[in-house]
Amino acid sequence: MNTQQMILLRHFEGMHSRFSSRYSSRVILPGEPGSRFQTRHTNSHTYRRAVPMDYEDDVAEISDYDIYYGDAPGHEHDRGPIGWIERADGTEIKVCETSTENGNKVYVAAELTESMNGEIIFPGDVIPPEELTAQPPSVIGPQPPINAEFILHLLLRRDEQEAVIGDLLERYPKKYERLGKRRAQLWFCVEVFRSTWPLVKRIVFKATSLITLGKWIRRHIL
Amino acid sequence: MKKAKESIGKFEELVLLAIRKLGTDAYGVSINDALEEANSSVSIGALYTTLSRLEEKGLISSRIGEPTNERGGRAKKFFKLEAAGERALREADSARKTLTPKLGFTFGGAA
Repeated sequence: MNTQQMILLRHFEGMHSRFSSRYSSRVILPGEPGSRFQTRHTNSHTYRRAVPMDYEDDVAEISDYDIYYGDAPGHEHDRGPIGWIERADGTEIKVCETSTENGNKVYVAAELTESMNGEIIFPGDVIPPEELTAQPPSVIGPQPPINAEFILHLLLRRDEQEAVIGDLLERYPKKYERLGKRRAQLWFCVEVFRSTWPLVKRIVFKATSLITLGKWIRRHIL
Repeated sequence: MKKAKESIGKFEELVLLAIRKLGTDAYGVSINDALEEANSSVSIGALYTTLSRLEEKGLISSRIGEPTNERGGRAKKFFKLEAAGERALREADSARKTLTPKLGFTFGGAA
């Protein structure tokens, strides 16, 4: 059993849960016999998520994105859009958006995440609204390295800046989802680096063209 | 003179073909995806350099779309193939068709 499995097991036994300390009177009900759902009750609502009974053997399935919400398994579920939110401490968390019975929006962690201060955030943990940054969660995506973006700003024409950087930002979350944070950031930097040469070449070509034109004018006209 | 201005390179031809294939949805990401499908992936900088060159030649035109959240509030730049672009593609195609029999083989396997 690896560390991640041990952490998850400890979590399922109901110990050290962020969820329990902040939200609920009754925290984790063990998966019902024969059921593939883990149920969590809070004061206002119930979450269910798909969990294999033998989770010791298949931890990967625990972090799938099916977060179910309803009174009974299979009764009703709400799989909200997957996105990212950022906590005030800078931790980016992949979440599902779901809603409580009262219609309030709730963000639930979609995968195991280690926060900036080393705290483990488990799939299914509700991210308390007071921990979010002021920016609306729907517009927060994973943020690419700003330095790389700045280099493009310097090299691109003003009319191209928005389109080019927008294109990179549009592709970045897909890479982030597929490759993870570090490799996605690396991809972004490589993409900016690859883009640099043709842009520099264009600037140099235009500059040398102007110099040549200036020389020709001086020689033949002036 | 005009003809020389409209002559296009291989990569420019691929970009024009991608724009024609995508129709009204031709912008940086979709063009790059189409090029990747054709095993001709390039950096976004190289792509935009080519696009601006094609625009200067009058083969394509562009318009700015609406900003979207998924792009961090930045707008897309859509490209459209102009009549001159269509003509350049046809000329490149006919030049290839004229030359291909002389090479003694056909592209895409045996007939």
